[in-house]
Amino acid sequence: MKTIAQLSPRSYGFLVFYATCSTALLGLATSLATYVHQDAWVVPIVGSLFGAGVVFLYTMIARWYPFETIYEINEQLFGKTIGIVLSLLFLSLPVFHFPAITSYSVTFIQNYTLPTTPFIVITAIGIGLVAFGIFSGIEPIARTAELCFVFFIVPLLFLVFTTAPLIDFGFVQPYFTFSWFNMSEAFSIFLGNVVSNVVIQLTVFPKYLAKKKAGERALWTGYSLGCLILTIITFLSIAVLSPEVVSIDHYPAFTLAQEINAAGFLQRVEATITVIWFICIYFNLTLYFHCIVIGMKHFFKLKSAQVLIPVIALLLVYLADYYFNNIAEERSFYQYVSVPHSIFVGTMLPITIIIVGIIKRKKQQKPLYPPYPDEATVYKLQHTPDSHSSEKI
Amino acid sequence: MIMKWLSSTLLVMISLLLLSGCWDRWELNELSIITGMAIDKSDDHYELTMQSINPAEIASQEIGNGYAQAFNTTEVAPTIHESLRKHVNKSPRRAFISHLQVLVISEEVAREGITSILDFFYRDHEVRSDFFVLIAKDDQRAKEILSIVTPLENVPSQNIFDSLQYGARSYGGTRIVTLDDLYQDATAPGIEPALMGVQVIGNLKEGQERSNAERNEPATTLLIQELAMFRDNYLVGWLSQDQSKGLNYITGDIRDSVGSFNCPNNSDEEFALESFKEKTDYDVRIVNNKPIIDLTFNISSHISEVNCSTLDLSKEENFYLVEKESEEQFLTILQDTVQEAKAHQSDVLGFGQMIHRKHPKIWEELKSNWNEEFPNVEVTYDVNIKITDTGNIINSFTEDD
Repeated sequence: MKTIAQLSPRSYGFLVFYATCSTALLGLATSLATYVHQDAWVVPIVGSLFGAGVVFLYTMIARWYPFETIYEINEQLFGKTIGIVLSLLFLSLPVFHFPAITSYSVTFIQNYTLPTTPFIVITAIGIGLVAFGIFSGIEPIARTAELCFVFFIVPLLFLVFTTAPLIDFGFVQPYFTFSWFNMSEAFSIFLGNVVSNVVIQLTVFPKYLAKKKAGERALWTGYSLGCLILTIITFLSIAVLSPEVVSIDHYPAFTLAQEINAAGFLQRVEATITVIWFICIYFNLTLYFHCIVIGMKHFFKLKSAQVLIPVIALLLVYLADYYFNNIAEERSFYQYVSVPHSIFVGTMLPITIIIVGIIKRKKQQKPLYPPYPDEATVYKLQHTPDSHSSEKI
Repeated sequence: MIMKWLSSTLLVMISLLLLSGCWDRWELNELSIITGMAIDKSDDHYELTMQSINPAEIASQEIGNGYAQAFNTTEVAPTIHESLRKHVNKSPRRAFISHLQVLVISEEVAREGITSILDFFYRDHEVRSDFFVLIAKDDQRAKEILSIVTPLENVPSQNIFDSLQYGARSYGGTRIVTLDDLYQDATAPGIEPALMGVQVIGNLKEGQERSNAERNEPATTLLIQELAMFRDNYLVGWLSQDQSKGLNYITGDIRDSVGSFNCPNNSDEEFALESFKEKTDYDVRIVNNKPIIDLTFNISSHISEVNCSTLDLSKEENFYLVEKESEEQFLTILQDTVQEAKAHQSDVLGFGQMIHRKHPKIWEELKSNWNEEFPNVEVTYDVNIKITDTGNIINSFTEDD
C-alpha cells in the first residue's frame, strides 16, 4: 500500500532550524552592517519578532488545509486558472534562489579552500548530493537533519563560546543611531532573506506531518532557534570584529571563526567549523529542490516525480554555473531581485491567501482558526485508497 | 544482472572521480612558509621582501646542515601579489602566507600612506588577519630588519613576533596591532592607528653574519620601541617609549607593567612600581557644546624596588605619600602623551571615537574637520594608584636602624 511520507515533529524542527539559518548564518551580518553599522544586531531581534507574525499566517493556512501543499491550496482556494498563476509565482522563489544560493556557497568554498577547482565541479558534486537526498525522499532527509544535529551544534557552540570572551562592547556603541531609511533597508533584507524563506516550509508542512499539532510547534521552535542563532552570530560578528571590518567582509561568520583561539593551542580551526554552514545550506537547498520537484509533480499531475529529479538537477547545475557573471552582479541580484521577490512571495502571497480565505470561510461559516484533526483521523484519511493525497512523492 | 554490473561500474567511476584528491593540492614540501614580509619603496614600485623559514634547520628533532634558518628574497613588481608569486623565481617552492607573523613597512612608505598596500592583505584568501604590522623606524630599510641573524630566535620575524607579544604582557611599552585592529583603527571614525616601530641597533653588516648569534653579546640586535602616529593613514610622527606606555594606558590596552618614579623626598633617587591591575574608564561631558573627556585610571600596584634612603615604608602615611607622588608623575606622562598626539593632530588616542560613542550628535558636527578640532579637546585626568604591597621585604636594607 502506498502511504504518504511521514516526518516526526522533532526531525522536522531541525529541518526548519537549518533552513532558517541557511546562508544568512554566513553573510547576514555584512548586509546588515553596511546599512546600520554597529546597530546591525537589532535587526534580527526586531525582524524575527515581526517574522513571527508572518509565520503565524503560515500556520493559519496550514490549519485550514492540513492535508495539502501550497500548490494544492492555491488551486482549491482560487480555482484552476488563478491557482496555477499563483503556484507558478510560488515556484519562482525556489527556481530563482536555488542557483543563487548554490552560487554563493560554491564561491565561498572556492574562495577559502579550493580556489582553482572549476566552479561547475563543486556545483555538480553539491547538487548531486542534494538530488540524492531528494531521491531518497523527504522523510530520510528529515531524519538526516536530526542526525546532523551533533555535527552542527557542537561546532556552533564552540564558535560562540570561544569568541564570546573577545566581545568589545565599545564596538556596538553608540546605540541606536541609525537613520530610519537605512533601518528599513536592513529590515527588508532580513525580511527577504530570512523570514520570507520560511514560506518554503508550506511544501512540507502540514502535508507530510502525521502529528499536525506537534508539527506546528516544531515549526515555531525551529524558526525561533534559527532566529536566535542568527542574532547571536550577528552580534558576535559586530562586537568581536568591529562594524567596519564586518561591513566589508563577504563572509563575516567565517572571519569570526578565524578569531577562535582557545588557550593558545586550539586555533586555526575555521576549516572544521565550516561544517555548520555546509549543513545549513545543504538542508536549505534540499528544501528548495523538494519544492521544485513537487511543484512539477503538481503541474503535470504525475504519480511520481522520481524520474524528474536527475533532469532538474542537471538543469540546476547548468543554471548555477551561468547564473552570475561576477560578484557585483550577485550583489545586485540580492539587493534588487532577491529581497523584493522573496518578500512578495513569502509575505504578500500568504497575506493574499489569508484575506481571500477569510472572506470565503466567513461565507461558509467555517472557523477561522480551526484545530488540527487528531492523529487517528489523519491516519484514516491518508490510508483510504481513493484519497487524493495518498501518493508518495 | 546487467543492471548490477552497470551500477557497480558506475560507482567505481564516480569514486574514481570524487576520491582522487583535489585540484588545489599543494604538499608541504612544495610550499615555502613565509613568516615575515617587508615593504620598501623602490623607484615607483614597492619592493617586497619575503622571509621564508627553513624547516629542516628549525625542527628540534632533526640535525640540520648548519645552514641559515631563514631565506629572504626580494622582488619588485607593481603589485604585492605579483611580487609574492615571483618569489618562486628565486626559491624552489611556492610562497605560502597563511603563517605570516609580521609585516614590516618602511617609514618612507608609511609616510606616503598605508591604505594602498594593505588592500591585498584583506582581500587574499590565504592571509589570516592575526599577524602584527610594524614600521621600520628612521629610514631604516624594512628589508634590513628581516636580514639580521637574531640570537635566541634566529629568524627575525619570529623574534619580532615574540618580542611584541611578551612585551605587551610584561612591560607595556609595545602595542600589539594585528591586521584586524589596523583596519578598524584606519577606517573607524575618530581614531587613527598607532604602529610599533622597529630598528636595527648596531652594525648592520655584522648583524647579517651568522657570527652575530654566536656571541654572548651580539654586535647587532633589533630594537622594538616607540610608536608611529598616523593622520588620515599617513605617518606623521613618533611617540617615545614612555608616551607609548601612556597611550596604552589611555586606550586601556595594557597588562602588567613596571614604571620608575622619583622618591617623595629626594628626586635623585627612584623607586619602582609594578602594576598588575589596570582599568581605564572614560566619560565625555559636553560643556558649552564642546566635549570634555574625563579619563579615570585605577591602577593597582606594588612596590617592587626602593632606592630611597629616607623612605620608611613601615609607616602607613608614607604609603599615601608614595601613592600621591607616583600619581603626579604618572599624570605628567599621560599629559605628555596627549600633548604629543595633539601636536601632530593625530588622534591615536581615539578621543573622536569616545565622543562618537557617547555623544553621536555632537560627533556629527565635529567629524568633518576633526583633525583641526582634536587639539582643542579638553582632557581631565583622574589617576588613582593603589599600592598594596612592598614585595618580600618592608624597608630597604640600606636603612640602618
